[in-house]
Amino acid sequence: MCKNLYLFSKKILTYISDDDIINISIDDISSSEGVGIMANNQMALTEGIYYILLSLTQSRHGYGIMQDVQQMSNGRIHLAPGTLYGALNNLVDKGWIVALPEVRESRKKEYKITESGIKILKEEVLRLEELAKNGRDILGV
Amino acid sequence: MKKVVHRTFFIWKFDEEQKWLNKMSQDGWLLNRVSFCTYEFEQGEKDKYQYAIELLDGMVCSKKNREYLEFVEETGIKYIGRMGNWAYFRKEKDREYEFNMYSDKESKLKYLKRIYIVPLLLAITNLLCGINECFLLPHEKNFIFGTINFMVAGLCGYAYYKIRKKRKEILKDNNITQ
Repeated sequence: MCKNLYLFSKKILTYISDDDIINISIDDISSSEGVGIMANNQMALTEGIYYILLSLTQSRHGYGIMQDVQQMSNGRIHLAPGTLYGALNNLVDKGWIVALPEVRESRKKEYKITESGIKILKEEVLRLEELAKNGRDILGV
Repeated sequence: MKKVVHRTFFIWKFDEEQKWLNKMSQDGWLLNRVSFCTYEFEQGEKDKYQYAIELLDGMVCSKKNREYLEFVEETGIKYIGRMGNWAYFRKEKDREYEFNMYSDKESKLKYLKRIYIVPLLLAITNLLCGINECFLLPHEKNFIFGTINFMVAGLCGYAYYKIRKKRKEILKDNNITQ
């Protein structure tokens, strides 16, 4: 938190001393979105959470999520039931997914991603692209 | 054919217990029923099933745990029974993955914390009682109770220490990998 404020104020001072402050609007300084450093307050998602959210862009039940994540990650990520159950509860608490009301007879509880969940996912994809791009540029893979 | 085994596993030996159940399953002895320190096995197909154990959170008959057990069974895992708060699960062996209830670092850490909190609280309570009985109420009979308290506190403290050690092992690489 303090580090962010320091960098934030450092950047403001830099901008003010440059000639191209013309490009900086009041909006940029007042909102946290404008200044790059404060833009992404969100912490990086773990792989499991990322894939669970991605999988729930379609409504699924627990076992469906497990299989979908396994398939998307080519068998690399296997979600154990305890882990998945805890993760789903956390995501519901955060409002990134919802438990759908039980409509069908099968009574298997289904979940689906919410608007804020999709927003988080999109930001995460941008973050992952930045990581991959730098890796590719530097390592040449 | 059935077989009944009486055996005690200390609270921090849940990994060993799981390995033992899997070894029995490999030899064709499938755990069918559990009760206090008692395991009932039935003969069945060798090496077909794997077992996992989990300490349930809070009261066993709570809504949260009922929902959790339903969730687990929906994924094709069979709930065999429980010994106190410890639930026993069985599922068909998967070639690629070892059967465990927790697969990632974070949830495993949280789970281990849940396990060590009971012995920790018992250790502290017994320690206080022991001090109370032995030093604050100096009377022969109380001294005996006090000693028992200290012994229980010692055992619980040891359990807490062993489980904390497992957590430390997982936390070792915390600033390197997820």
